Amino acid sequence: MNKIRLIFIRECSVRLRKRSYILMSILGPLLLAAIVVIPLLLKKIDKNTVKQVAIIDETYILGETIKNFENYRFTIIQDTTLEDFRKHYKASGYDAVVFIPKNIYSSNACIIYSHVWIDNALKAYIGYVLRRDLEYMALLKEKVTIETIKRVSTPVFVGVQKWTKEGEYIDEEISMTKKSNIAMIAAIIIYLFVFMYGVMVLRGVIEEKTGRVVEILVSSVKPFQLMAGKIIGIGTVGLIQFIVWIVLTFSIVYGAQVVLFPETYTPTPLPELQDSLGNNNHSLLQLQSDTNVDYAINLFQAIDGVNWTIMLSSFVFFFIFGYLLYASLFAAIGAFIDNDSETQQFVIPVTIPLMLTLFLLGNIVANPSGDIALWLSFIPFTSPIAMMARLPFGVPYWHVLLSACILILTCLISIILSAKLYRTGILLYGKKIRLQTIISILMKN
Amino acid sequence: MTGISIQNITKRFSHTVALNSVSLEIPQGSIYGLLGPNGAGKTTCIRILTQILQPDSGTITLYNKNLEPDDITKFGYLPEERGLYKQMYVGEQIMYFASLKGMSKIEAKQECNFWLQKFNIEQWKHKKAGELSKGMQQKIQFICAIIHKPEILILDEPFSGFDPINADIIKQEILQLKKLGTTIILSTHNMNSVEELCDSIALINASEKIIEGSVSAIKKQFAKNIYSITFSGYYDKFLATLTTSYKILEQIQNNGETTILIELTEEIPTNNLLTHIMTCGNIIDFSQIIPNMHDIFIDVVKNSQSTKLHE
Repeated sequence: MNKIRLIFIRECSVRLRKRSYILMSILGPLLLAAIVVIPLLLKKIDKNTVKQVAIIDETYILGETIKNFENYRFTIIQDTTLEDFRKHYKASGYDAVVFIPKNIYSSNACIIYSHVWIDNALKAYIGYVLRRDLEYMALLKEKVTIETIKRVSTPVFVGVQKWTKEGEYIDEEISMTKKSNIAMIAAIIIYLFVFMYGVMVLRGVIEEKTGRVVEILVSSVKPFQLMAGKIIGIGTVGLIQFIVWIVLTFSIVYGAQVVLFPETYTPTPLPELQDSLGNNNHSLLQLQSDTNVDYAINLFQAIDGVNWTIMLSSFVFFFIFGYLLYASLFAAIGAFIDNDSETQQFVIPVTIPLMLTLFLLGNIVANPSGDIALWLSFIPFTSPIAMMARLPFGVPYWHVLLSACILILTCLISIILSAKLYRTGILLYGKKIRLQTIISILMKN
Repeated sequence: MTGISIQNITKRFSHTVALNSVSLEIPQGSIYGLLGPNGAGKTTCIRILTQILQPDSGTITLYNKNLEPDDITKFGYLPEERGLYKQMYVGEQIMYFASLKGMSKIEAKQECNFWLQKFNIEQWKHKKAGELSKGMQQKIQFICAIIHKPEILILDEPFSGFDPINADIIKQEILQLKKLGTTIILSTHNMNSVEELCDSIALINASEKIIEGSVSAIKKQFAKNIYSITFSGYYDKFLATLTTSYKILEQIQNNGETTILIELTEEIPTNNLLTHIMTCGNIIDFSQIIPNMHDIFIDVVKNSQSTKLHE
């Protein structure tokens, strides 16, 4: 154990003070925080910029109900055609023009012309106002009074309440979108860390082999001790970096929230709809759900509502064992590689299960109880990612337990077999790896 | 006294026999040369001694006790293919290898400083190994092998990469370690070093031990009856009255002195030969030609190969 400790300390100390490691520990959280903060910042800047929008209304009625919305200021342009307006568009100083054609009653379509990007909130707002007014007009035609329309106008909010198989309520506040975001992020982070640090083990083994240090080392320590010390050392370095990433990312995001967004950000409700919806603002989010900005908003809000203890402890478990499984495989492979140029061709086949799970992440998140998600979360080579993607949606305990047991067992088998290969491989130079050789090494003893 | 005794060690790799029932007796406190052509099995033998590999059969005893895993700290090893961690500082690196051999941090630090000063390279302590010249790195590797004061030191081609001055420094250190009682196993192709340093040798060829013994005994064993004689007198009489059969390999006559290189095909006592020369003239110079290790090595390996071919 003492020798494993010595190797562990060396692996940690050498890597912890590497410039690239320190740089990535700082840049990683900055980049992650930037993904959250920058869209919000842009949104804030955008909100402060008033945009002038012209309305050319060929119906002479529908344009009247379009009121100023967020940072959009609407002006109805009288006595002009779209073609005339287009010719003088530059001189007019408008940022966009909403063209309501007279055939809107049959075509149900209007067009926004602009030289700038039109955000989804404006499209949703114009669409909502015109649809509502067209419906009103159609109903009025059918002799339904305004009062009746307002009385019967009943927006329906569809909520989801989670309960157990026994029918007991579970208090959950996080929406499915937020859960999906958390699942995606957790799975991607685990993929990145398992892959990044697994490959670091591979490179470490190759460095010792090609640098011809390994023979001196194995004359002092057992190959298993060398492999174990290296894997544990690099894994610890990875875990430290992960913790630094989480702490720094949260600090930066919260710091940015305090400094840049003193009031917790909530999307501005559509003015005309607010009254009728009352407190059920959820459907507003649905209107805007596909925008990048909303992804950031959801993420921002999700941070507040997640049970981070469960997520982090599961993350640490699946990270440790997922890493141990892949790191032991990488160590065995590294032991047979003589030079760096051969590395890539061996890395890809090993990481195919990881990449496959990443490709299927969308399916897992869309249907966390489906067959694909279920099987991938039990197969040890894919379970670290798949189970992390399923966890935010609620997974039966026995699923987690079974997945964890299979992973631990596979890890042990992988470590034992990898140690055998490692012991032989590190002393072989200039020999091609043949399946037959590997099998004969594994069968020996 | 025997330090290490290797008895009938056999090691196979797949279908290749690397060592075939090899037995060696390595005297304690001596320098033991392990010789042989490339691929003979020397490195396998060394790896078994350092417990990197386990033999398929046979036993190894250290001071008459079976070699145990804990004995690993008694060994120092400088492999032929050696390197250092390029990104690690020299001092840190030496201390790391010392700690792996069981030295305490304080002890390792003291010894590290001692050796760096001794080799006059203490200014490199805080440099990365990758910044050093090859020769400098070799010195660091040598320090790493001996820092924990091993009882048995195995050196595989210790002089490769050294210039003559540094090679001499290392040579002196090896002799010094021997004086302190270290048993040294030296594997090298440099036969001059073998003659200069080794007390005894073993020659391995094609997985088998061919010869083993003290350097002087082996030289004597392979010495042929070739003499270099310089004398003034009656050369013809000397040859005519020589009772044993002979072959003149070389003959030079200069100012009444004759120098011959003569091989006697029958063994006769040296004194008889000297007496015979004295009856024919005055002896100026007389010596028996003893083969050097280089010649013995080539002879033995060639003979061994031709024997195998005939078999």
